[in-house]
Amino acid sequence: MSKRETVATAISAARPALIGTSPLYAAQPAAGFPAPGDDLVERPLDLNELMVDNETATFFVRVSGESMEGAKIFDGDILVVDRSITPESGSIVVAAIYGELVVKQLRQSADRTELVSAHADYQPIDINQADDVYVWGVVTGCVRRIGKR
Amino acid sequence: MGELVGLIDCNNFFVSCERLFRPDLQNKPVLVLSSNDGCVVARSQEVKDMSIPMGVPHFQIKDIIKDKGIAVFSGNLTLYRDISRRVFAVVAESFAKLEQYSIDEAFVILSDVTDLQQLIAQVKDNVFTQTGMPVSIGVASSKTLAKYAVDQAKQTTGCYVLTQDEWLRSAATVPLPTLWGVGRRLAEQYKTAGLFTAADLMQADQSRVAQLFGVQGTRLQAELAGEYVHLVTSKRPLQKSLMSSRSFATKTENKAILSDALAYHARHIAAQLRSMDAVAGTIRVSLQTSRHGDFLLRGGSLVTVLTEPTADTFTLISQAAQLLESLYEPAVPYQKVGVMVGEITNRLSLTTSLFPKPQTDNAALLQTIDALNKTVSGRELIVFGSRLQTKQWQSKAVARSAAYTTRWSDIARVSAS
Repeated sequence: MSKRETVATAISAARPALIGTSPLYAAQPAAGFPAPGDDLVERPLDLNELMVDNETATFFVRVSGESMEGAKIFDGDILVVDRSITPESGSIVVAAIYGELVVKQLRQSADRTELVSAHADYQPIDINQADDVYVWGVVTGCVRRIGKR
Repeated sequence: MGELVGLIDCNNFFVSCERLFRPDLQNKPVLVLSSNDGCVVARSQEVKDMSIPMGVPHFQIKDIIKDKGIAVFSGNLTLYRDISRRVFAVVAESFAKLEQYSIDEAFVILSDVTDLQQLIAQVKDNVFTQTGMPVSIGVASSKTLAKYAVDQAKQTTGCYVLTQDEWLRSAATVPLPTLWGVGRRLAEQYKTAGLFTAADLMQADQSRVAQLFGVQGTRLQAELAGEYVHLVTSKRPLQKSLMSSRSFATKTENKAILSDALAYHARHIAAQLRSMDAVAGTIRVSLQTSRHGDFLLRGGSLVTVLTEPTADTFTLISQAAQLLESLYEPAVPYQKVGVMVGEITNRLSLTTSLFPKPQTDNAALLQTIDALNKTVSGRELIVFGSRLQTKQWQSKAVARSAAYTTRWSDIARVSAS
């Protein structure tokens, strides 16, 4: 397998200009001659914009445990959960299983629906028959700080 | 079909908020206590079925709580406000006009909807999917009838469209006191006039109703006839008054504690006024003794008119302190104190007084304090006007749930094990 360097790409250039109600001009006309480039006002990058599509349906939860490490979800990570998304096979979901909130992957086939972990030590949970199980929301993102604050 | 009025009402709102991050409480008895007095303010269906009434004090039902394993929470308004905001943001997407009537109800206008049943069922589903909140929706041709329709919705599938024909058939079985806006006193007056049901009022002579009950009566009569009288307005009028009060953990005769508690309430009210961009014209302080015991008739309340409408914390604290001086009696065990402000107006619509006092400009300072206190949501970082810790007088919350949606340290845990 070829070794790949981690490359950080500048993304600020790719940001679409002037969304929504951004001011078209920063300077008041009365303030005098506008500074050059005043018509290119953009707001600073906001992580919410990157991580949250539907604010009213989005909730954050914290992961506790190792069973999703195969999906690169680690103990202590903060998950972005969007309730407005319809779960499908393969979705990472927060589910309520017998009164507990868990993070699993949803796997649906013709004859069964399962919640599976991303770790060899954990068995899939068949939820076809269970009535005390439901999908709480679909995980759309994962936030992790590096190092201590 | 022209315009119809819809009412969206959250089912057992506080309880449903508590259950959102606690699937283990689904189908289990849950009740919520008021954060200041420890009285029941919300009940799950399971608790309603045990005939535990609304408003009953916590200590009176401790045994049944233990026997039946009822989950008990102290009100978590931070959480409830955030969930409410989400619920009505989702609702608002589907209607041209929405008037939030309380933390858990909103009126909407439905105009020229082709498939009414389908639309409201869809809104109901959508709200539940996105926010986890179960709601009931009633639709009729006036606010009063929409309120009746939502009660029917709660007893059926959660959606109910009341047609005028159907209303005419059932109006004779609907007692007047069960209607929206008919309080106990008004119900008494209707009874005296021989009006008992909605149908009675609808059939009553209009001029007689006007004579006996004034405009309130004729409006209700019109609303019952399906006329759209009470308008749905998206512009919410400013609250007329604000109150902050709390019972003490244990009764106290200590003036220092009373004054600290009053300063606490004054700070909260002032901050709330500023967040509304409003000012208050009057301030009232009340001292209450226990409702049981020898001091029942002691305590009381006093109001003072502020020289100029204000939202200034320093002014409110010093006015509250002066009122306390006039009210306080030594050797009386006080149970509860509170601060209430009235004549609230928009700050910008103020006409300044003829003889303004020299302005001490606290605005910038207070703005900074508000911002600092906001960063540690739910707690006060900057405190002034109090010498003691609030712990010394505040009653302990039985079990307040986490600020799941407003504090990073409180977000729900999901298990990956």
